[in-house]
Amino acid sequence: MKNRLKSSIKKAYKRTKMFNISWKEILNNWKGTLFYATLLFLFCLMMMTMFDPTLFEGMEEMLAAYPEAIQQMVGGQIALSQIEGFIHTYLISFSWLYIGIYLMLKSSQDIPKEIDNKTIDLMLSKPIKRWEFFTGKYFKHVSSAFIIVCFVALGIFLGVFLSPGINPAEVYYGELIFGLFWLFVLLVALISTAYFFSTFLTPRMSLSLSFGVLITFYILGSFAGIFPEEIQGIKYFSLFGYFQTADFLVDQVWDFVLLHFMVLIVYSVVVTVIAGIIFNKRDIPV
Amino acid sequence: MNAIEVKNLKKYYSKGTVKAVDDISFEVPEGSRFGFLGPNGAGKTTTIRCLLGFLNPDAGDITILGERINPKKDVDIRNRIGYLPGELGIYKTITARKLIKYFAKLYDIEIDWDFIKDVSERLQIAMDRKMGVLSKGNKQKVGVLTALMGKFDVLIMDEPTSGLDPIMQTEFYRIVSERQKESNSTVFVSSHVLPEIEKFCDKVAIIKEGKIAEISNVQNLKAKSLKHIELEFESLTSKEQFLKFLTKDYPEAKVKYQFNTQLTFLLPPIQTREILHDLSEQKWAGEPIKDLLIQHSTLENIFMEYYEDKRANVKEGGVVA
Repeated sequence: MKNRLKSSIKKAYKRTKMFNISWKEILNNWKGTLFYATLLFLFCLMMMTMFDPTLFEGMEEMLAAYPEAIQQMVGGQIALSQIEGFIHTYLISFSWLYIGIYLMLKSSQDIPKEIDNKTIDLMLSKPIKRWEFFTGKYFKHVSSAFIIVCFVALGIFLGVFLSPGINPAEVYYGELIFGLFWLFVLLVALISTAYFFSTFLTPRMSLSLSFGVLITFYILGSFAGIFPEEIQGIKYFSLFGYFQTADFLVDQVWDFVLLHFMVLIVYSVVVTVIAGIIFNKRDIPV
Repeated sequence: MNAIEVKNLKKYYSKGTVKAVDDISFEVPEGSRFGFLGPNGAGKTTTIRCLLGFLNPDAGDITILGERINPKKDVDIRNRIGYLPGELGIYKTITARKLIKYFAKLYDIEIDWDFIKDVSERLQIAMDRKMGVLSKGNKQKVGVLTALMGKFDVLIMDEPTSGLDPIMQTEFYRIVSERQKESNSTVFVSSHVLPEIEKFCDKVAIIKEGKIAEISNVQNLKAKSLKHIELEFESLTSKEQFLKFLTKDYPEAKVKYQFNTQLTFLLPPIQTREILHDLSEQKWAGEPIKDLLIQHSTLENIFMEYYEDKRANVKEGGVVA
């Protein structure tokens, strides 16, 4: 009994190595993450205080006259006079650009830089398994995404109460929170993609390929509507095809929401597991 | 018991065309100081990286402290191994103190903080300065500290004194010796700084183009190696006459160096007595020699013997073979 207890304590302690790695990584990066999150918080707050239903009603009519491609670029449904539509168009549908690129840049460089700088040698000579090192670093990026989304959420919700053009009683808070959570899940999927490349490519190759994939995903996911009808399903080859926050934020349509949500989660898990296997098998060169 | 046993280790690159390590086997006895010698690209670092699981060997068995292991999977053994890489990479944004505390959390063993304090004082390590601002030598000292932070049974060090000044090199070997005596650990040092290895190690392996060229006790290696004979003559003519005699009567002799009236050559130990006799009898019919010095070969000379096919032969004016 005593031995079993000892062994389970030892096992639990061993597991914490991954969190030790994560924690150290987070501490090493907290300044950058916090700075960027604060910038986004201020940006969201500024955008929210700009909201004026009458002003944006005119803009909505104007944008409705734009070609389909332009409308698709800003998320398809344009309901700018409605706060949820405004948030979707200006803050959520462009999030891949200002949050996704930042996180992909970080995660695509992580492991290749450890190898290039030789810091990985000291780490992997310690009694840790490669997957602990790998997941420890992965959680740093996930936590960065979480912190950034939290700051974005804070900016949005503070904006709801501070903006004179918004009636807080009319806001669908549940949908907004779910939309932001979905954004977090999309960001994790983007991180997983970049992190996957980082396990076997050089820093430059990993970065180039990550951005290449991001742009391809965006084009496929956002512009599929302008392709011939028979190939419009191509958007489901993109992560953005499963990021349809406008459906429930603007139209309150919840069809396929759970399915799309699950696809993003499963994608992240599968890509991360494959990346982990590759990292575990690869040589760490001199 | 052997602390490290490597059997038929192979590591090839580029689909087998580059044989970084080609079927090497060696044993490092527990408690010994083992030098692993070879020039750049001989396969030293590749072997060490296979031992630590950084590289996947193409074939071979690795046994550490009596356990046959898969170095990548059996990570618990690393609680008993201290490692100092050849090219040290250290996180630039943290201090040595924080780095040591962080690494301490990754081990499942007790960390000897008194020892760390003692070593940091002796090596004059700036424990509270960020690594990014430290010089190469100071970073290396931090690396040394991380390799010695526990009472490890095996210390694997790849070019450990690189970047350290001579005073710190001496201090480093003193600390390692003390640590070894204290915990009866085994020290495996890879280096191409041969005088260091000669002073510190009791056994050496010489690796050449991925293969083990020689494994021996340092003293035995020196004893069976060529004698190093330095002569000084009264005149150049006398030296030339002796050279003719040497080439004719001692075909195994290897001339290493000649400059003016000085001549240095290597001779198998078995012929030493014979040549002393010939020198005293003035068998080459020249003038008597002015000075004579007979030495065991240094490890450096022995090492060069294994690599001499790649080196230039003796040249008038002082080039070493």
